[in-house]
Amino acid sequence: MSGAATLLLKKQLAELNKHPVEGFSAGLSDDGNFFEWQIMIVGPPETPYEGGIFNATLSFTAEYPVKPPKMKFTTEIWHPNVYKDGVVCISILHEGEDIYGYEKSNERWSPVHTVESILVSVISMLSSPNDESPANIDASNEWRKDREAFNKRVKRLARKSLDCL
Amino acid sequence: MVNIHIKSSTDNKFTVDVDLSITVADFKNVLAERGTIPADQQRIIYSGRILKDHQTLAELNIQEGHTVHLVRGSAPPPPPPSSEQVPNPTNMPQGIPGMPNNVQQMMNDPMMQNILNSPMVQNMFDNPELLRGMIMNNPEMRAVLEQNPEMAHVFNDPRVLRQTFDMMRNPELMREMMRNADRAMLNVENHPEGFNLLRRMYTNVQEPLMNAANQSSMNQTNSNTIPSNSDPNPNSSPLPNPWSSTPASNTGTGNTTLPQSSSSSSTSPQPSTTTPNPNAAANPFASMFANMGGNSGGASSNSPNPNTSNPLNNMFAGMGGMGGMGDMGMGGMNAAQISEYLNNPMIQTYMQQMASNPQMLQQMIESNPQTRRLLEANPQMRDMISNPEFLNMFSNPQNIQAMLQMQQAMGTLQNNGMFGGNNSPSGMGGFGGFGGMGGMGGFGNMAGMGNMGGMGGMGGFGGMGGFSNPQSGQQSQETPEQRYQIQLTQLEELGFLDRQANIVALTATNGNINDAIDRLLR
Repeated sequence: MSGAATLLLKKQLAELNKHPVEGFSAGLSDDGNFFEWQIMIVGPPETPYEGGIFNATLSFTAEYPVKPPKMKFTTEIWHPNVYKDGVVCISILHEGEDIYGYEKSNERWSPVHTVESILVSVISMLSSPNDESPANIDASNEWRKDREAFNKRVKRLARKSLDCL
Repeated sequence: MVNIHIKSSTDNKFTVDVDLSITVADFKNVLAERGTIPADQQRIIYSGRILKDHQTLAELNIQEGHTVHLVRGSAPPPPPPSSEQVPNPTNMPQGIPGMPNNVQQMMNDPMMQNILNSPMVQNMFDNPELLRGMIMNNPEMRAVLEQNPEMAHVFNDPRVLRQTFDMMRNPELMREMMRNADRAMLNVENHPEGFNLLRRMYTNVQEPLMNAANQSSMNQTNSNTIPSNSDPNPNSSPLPNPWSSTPASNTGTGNTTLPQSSSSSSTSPQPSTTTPNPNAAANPFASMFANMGGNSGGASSNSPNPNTSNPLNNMFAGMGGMGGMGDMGMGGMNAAQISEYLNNPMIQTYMQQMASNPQMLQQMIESNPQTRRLLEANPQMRDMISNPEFLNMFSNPQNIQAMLQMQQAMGTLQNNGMFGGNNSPSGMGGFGGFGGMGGMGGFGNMAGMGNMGGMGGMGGFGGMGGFSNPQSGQQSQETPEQRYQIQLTQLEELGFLDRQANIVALTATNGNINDAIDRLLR
């Protein structure tokens, strides 16, 4: 008997298949394993990410929804809140109180979050980076100080992302 | 035809009406007409993935009303020959009908993996010459190879053979292939015609069968726990013939070719009490299968339990037994795979050929010592095989699919505790049964990439049918509501509030909450 995590995720998958959400497409990496999701995010319009397609994985544990999943871009992406190895650092994927006080607890992980709500947050993160708690310091600095270079680099990667498909 | 919504990065949203049997490449052409992105620049995203051109929409499990994303990619360089799919340097011709599919399907079977990993087979793989010899020793196989030069090439080149086998042994590749096979299994259901077929089958076959089963299980007492050589079955009323309404059942055959009572326990190492079938006349199919079950199922299954009393059970056990015709390769495949297999034009042709030329089949069987032995021990079976009508019957895909459906129905019945304990694998026997299907099996040998040629005995798996755990479940006396108490609570916690629907779903899935949710969400 599988736990509540699988069941919840299964339900979400069925929902997403029926009523997909603008901006991303989600499915299982491995049929039958509801803990590993494969995500494709369409670069949001009117951002330098536009035109790119970004692959990511979303890894849940059996403790979902008590614990948040981990999200990692597998396509190279340049963003203040994404580590260079692709791990996404946004407040809603973090548990509990932020010891640095940057993130309010109501912006942090809560069991109500679903694949959909996580990805909507990530997409909004792409449009508006949060440079207060950067994961990629170089990207963050560039975003703050040399937006033009930042945009150019992002666009180059967005184009590159299509070649990798 | 189904509606599929497209969310395009450039052309906004639109909806197209397509057939799910088309490939992604065809689908792109449809989209190219509607939108502004040329087919070769389209990237279609569904379920978190970029769709590959060679897949069909049904394989991808796309359904009515689903939405795919469409983006413009760069125009591709001329694609390297299918390198992303199978890293086989010789680029095994995709063009051999049925072949890649069948290999994948075979791989899906854990049994098959065991076989592949067994030292004997490994050894065989290490020596492709041996394998080739085995194949070429069979005159019919040779003829087939001569007709299909592509195939001959595969077999004649030890290097290719070896590569193929390496590929099969590689767990990574295998997993990938297995995943494809999973998708393929959904095909029948998703394909609009396939679905209709299933539905038709349901009304024509499953319902009468269910009724029949209900009746007989009501009549049945619990006498089947006593292994005895006599007929323990108190049910002497004829079973309604579930085949009577199927359009293509050549019912005459069973009667004319078969002695009606099965007298086969002589071949079986175990006391296999195949029920003398009281309704042989009423249901030729049943009798046929029961006979075969007795003949070969007993022989191949080593069933520790006697075939027990329920005629239905018996019938299917019998089908399982057909698997025992051995060596026929299809054993262990599942229903969807088989029907796919059957719809493959090449197979159909092959089967027709076989049907029109009984000698060919016979030869094929004769050339295999195992099956020959089996036949020698069972003259009835030989009769059956040499009867063209019988073969015809099997070459009619409708018949076969109907049988598949029956097997599935059996599975369901069994799951619902109608026949004995939870774990009785009698449903499996049914599947195995197909292994036996005369000519098909022969093809199995070839289509499964020589289905590993002499991999013999695999079909014997079908013999499992003999097992039918004769403990009638206590649980069937509980109401589903009591039985699935825990699951019901869980479903309610998950927001499935329609208790009645929950119960129905849980009953249908034998309490498997995952499957029940699948049903509820459908």
